[in-house]
Amino acid sequence: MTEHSPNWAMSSTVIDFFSTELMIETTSTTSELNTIQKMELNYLTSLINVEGSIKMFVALSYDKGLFNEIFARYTADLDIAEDEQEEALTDSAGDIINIIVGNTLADVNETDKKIIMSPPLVITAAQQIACQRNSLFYKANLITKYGALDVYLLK
Amino acid sequence: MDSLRVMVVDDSSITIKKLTQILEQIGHSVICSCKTGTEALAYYQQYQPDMVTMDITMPDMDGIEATRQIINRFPKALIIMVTSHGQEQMVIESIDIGAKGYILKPIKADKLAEMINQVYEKYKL
Repeated sequence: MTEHSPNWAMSSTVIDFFSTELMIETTSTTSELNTIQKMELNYLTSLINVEGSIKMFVALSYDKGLFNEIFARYTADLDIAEDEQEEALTDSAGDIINIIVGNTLADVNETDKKIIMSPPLVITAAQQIACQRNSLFYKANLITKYGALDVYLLK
Repeated sequence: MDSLRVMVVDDSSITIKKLTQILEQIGHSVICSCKTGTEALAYYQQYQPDMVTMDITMPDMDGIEATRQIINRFPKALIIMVTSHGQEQMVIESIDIGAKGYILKPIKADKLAEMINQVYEKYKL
């Protein structure tokens, strides 16, 4: 894995974003490259599909404690009514994966060809996603004091 | 610089709130906001804003197509694209069809103010 591979860059971008934008430090990271038949999901998962000169599928799956802390910090200066909370939660998760995947692509794209990111999807009530048999995936597990984040990248 | 009447187009309610807050802090007013390219066309015609911030990635009609259609009907429209890093080719495509500038997410007040000033000074009527 090199500094310019999407796998390495994705984890690095998440750690940087948490630290610089949310003041949340990652205390440890583990990663693996393997084949997969299903992704085990946590409390909230956001997903983006990337097409073009780079093709990949990215999922960020958060523990509840971590995402609640991220949400509180990301929206700290905004007035959000009680009836807007659910939409605000999913939109925050969508904003964050959009920024993280975009920053990662900026680091790894070495061509001037177009890359198209899908609008983000956010799911909160699923336990797993079944994958195509033996899909190659990269998984990183990032630990913070508020909980963990699993980063999945399928190519 | 005059206070501008701005339309915000973004499929994220949080980004709309953040942009609205920043725009008001720097002396402008958000006269309308919407979440799709299709709505943007209708709202532009209805409100005739001084400037538009336009998200690129949206469901139904994306920001590039919405910009193309607004510019076709209102060639003097001042549209600033809002996007994340890594979408440079989409930004170039937007500028080619008539968008006047862009800012990157996460949105910073100083960068947005600078881009609005730059676009206004260059293209004001």
